[in-house]
Amino acid sequence: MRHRLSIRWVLTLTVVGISLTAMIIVSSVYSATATTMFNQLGLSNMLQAMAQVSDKLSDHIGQVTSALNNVAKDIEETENFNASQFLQGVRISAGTGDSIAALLFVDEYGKPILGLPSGEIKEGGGLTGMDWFQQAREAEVGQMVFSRPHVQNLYQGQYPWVVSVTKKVRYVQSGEPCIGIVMVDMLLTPLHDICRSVTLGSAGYPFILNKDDEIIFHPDQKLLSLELISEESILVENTAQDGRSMALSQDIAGTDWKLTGRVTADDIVQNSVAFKSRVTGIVLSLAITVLAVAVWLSMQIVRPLTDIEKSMQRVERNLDDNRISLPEEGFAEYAALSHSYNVMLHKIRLLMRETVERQEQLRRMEIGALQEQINPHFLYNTLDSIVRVMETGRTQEAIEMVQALAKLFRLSINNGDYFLTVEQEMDYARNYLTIQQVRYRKNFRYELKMDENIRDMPCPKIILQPLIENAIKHGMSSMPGCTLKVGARQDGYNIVFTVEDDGLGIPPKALEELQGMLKDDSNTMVKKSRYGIGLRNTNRRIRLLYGREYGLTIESEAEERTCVTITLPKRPR
Amino acid sequence: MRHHHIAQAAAVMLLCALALLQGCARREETAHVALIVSSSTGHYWENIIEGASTAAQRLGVEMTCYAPDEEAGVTLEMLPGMAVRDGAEALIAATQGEEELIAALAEANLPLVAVGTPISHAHLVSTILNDDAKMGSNIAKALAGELTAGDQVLLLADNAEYKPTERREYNLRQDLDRMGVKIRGRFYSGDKREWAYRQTLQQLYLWPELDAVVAFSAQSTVGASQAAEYLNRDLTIIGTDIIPDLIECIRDGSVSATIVRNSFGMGFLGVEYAAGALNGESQTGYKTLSSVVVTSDNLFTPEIEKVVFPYE
Repeated sequence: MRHRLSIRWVLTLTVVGISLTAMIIVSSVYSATATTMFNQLGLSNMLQAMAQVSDKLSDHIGQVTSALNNVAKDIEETENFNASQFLQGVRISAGTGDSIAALLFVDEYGKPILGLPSGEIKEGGGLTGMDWFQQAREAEVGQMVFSRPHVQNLYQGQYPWVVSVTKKVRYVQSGEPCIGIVMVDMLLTPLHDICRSVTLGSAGYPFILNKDDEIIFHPDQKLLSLELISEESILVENTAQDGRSMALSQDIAGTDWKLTGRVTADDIVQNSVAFKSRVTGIVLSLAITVLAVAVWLSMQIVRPLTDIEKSMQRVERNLDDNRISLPEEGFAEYAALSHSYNVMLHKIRLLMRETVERQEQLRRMEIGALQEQINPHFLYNTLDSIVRVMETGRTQEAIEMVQALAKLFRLSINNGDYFLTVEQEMDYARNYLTIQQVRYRKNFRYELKMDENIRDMPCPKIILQPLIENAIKHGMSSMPGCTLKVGARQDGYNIVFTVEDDGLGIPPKALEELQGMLKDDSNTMVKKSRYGIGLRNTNRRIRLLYGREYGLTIESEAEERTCVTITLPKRPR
Repeated sequence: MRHHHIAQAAAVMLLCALALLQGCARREETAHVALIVSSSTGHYWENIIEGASTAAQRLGVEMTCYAPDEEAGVTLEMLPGMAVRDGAEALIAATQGEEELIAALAEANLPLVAVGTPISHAHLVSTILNDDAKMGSNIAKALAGELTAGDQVLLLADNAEYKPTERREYNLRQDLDRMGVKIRGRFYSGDKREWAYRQTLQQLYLWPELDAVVAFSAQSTVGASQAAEYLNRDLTIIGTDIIPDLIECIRDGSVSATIVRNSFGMGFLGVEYAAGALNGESQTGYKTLSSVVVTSDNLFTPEIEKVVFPYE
């Protein structure tokens, strides 16, 4: 009993289990869908940011290259190139002042023809050794070439980092066709500012590579320069898809560069992680709420049951206390259950009272029966009869009476047992009749008849004697020569005793009273009846023992006969 | 009784949920390291501090720099105690081997990364050094093309006394000795251009036959160059480290060469190793960073450009 689950637990676990399962399934599906969506959105945002940077870079570089093209075009279209005249009309697009560190036009041997800003420019021997010059000289005419980033050293005291953009041109000077190189030193700082203006998530960053995967810009350029981080690791970043980070690449229009963005997986999934955290928080809050509701609900449902249980325990301990009953309140079902229980309790208490009363009556009856066994009048009369018989010298009769009396007493005691066998009861009747026949000077006859198959069946003791006494006293004592028949037989599942005499019979009115009394043996009727106290007592004893369907019946015809029948169930004691 | 069990189960679930939420909300604590430097002025020290700051920012470490301050009455030996009181979890000590500072560092029961000068310490994590021995040899090598046996050299040192344990000067002296070049004198100029200028002028007046000056700091190199220019003397000057004025000196040939140390990298690695030690990573015992020889010929080569004109 102790190991069984309580309703409260079952209710709580069921509600919580179902709710949690539903919440987990729904939130998992929703979370998975949303995670994919958020991740795509995160990636899309990164790509959008990259595209914006790429566009800005492209615009910026476009202005520079446009300036270069304009100058180159002007040089090529000038019929007879003259540096001093040309400088006055040189076209450099507005807004490129902060983008261009220098503009230089050199002949194919590296000799400066003109330069902006004006100043002392490093001589040709130095220029020809520079990477940008060599790259430009090897290029086709009209081809635009971007150098690797380098420190511009054309002028004293100025050492900006630049990318030299060059274009090989044809021009005419002094009537002779010539080849020259127009070079624009594009400052890297604006490019860096553009790149630094955007962050890809919390830890991501864009950087620029040229077509040979040389770094044009990287946020950790100084660390790279000082070899505090390796260039290889940066280039690995360009392609690695290691799960923790991702490389996004985008071409920068108008150049052979590409903008590469390194974004961490954490940044891409940042929104989805935040979403998951929120979902987890909501699920946990709901779970706690559901748990609390489940506990409260189970308590509401179970508390009346617990009250009923407690009340039942009180009833169990104090069954006879009429004040204890269940409160008929709360839910309708509990009120109905309590009401039914109270009704049942009331009936049980009635039955208990009846049982107690019945037991009390039985006890009284038994005492009465015992009192009858030792009826002093009967004893006195019997002993008186024995004396008279002995005085008349009928010693044998006296002996028989004494023997009969002795058997009567022995059977009535019967070791204190309330029951006799049918044979013993018939024996009791025989001994009683033996004595009474002597007392009444043998003015009646008697016959005893018993079915052998019921001889050992039990029956309450001394149930025939009151009937025989009545028959002798009221039916045959004043009418000599009557016959008394005592029988015991089986009738189906019953044992039937009959005491029948052919004496005076009972007057109809008295018979009606007797039959009424036997039918309803209440105390009220007993008091009203003037007949057959012995019959009444015997009838009540049997009914108390076996129920109201058993007991005595009486039938009589005036001046003809009287027959009293006792019906008992055939059952073990 | 069962009612109590349910209440207990609910309480446990609530606590678990709170713990989970707390765990989700908890932020990682930032490591706190202290950089202790013998000086906060001068190219070498400023670069160490800058490198350390860059690493701290990059690694998400909180770094505080402690340097002596004469005006505030803060002396070298006070610095480790101040760092400990401020909650530093590891120390990075860039010293010149000052005994009082090393003694104070020994009392601080914290992991230590020594930068620039080796330190004996109970909780030494790593030592990050410039390749001083090679640097001394490089200076001698740079002088070798310009001087011959019997020439005389003036040394402008950045520390007061010569210690044979200081590998840079020791190797230089050994190599000069082998070359037959004589060291005319050794003078302390710190990282002060004015001091170097005056010392150089004074020694040139005293020893007109001086052929070369070796300066162990960028400012003193420029000061020596200016002194030579002032007296219109053709001196071979070998410097240390790089500043914009020194670039011009290299470019115009007034300074033959300068040996550039990676002091930025030393500061950077100092913080990186200290932070690594706090994270339980095992560290390299010694890390030696190379110096480069910068001349007018290689100043604008890609390799030297990166060092001399670092990106900001």
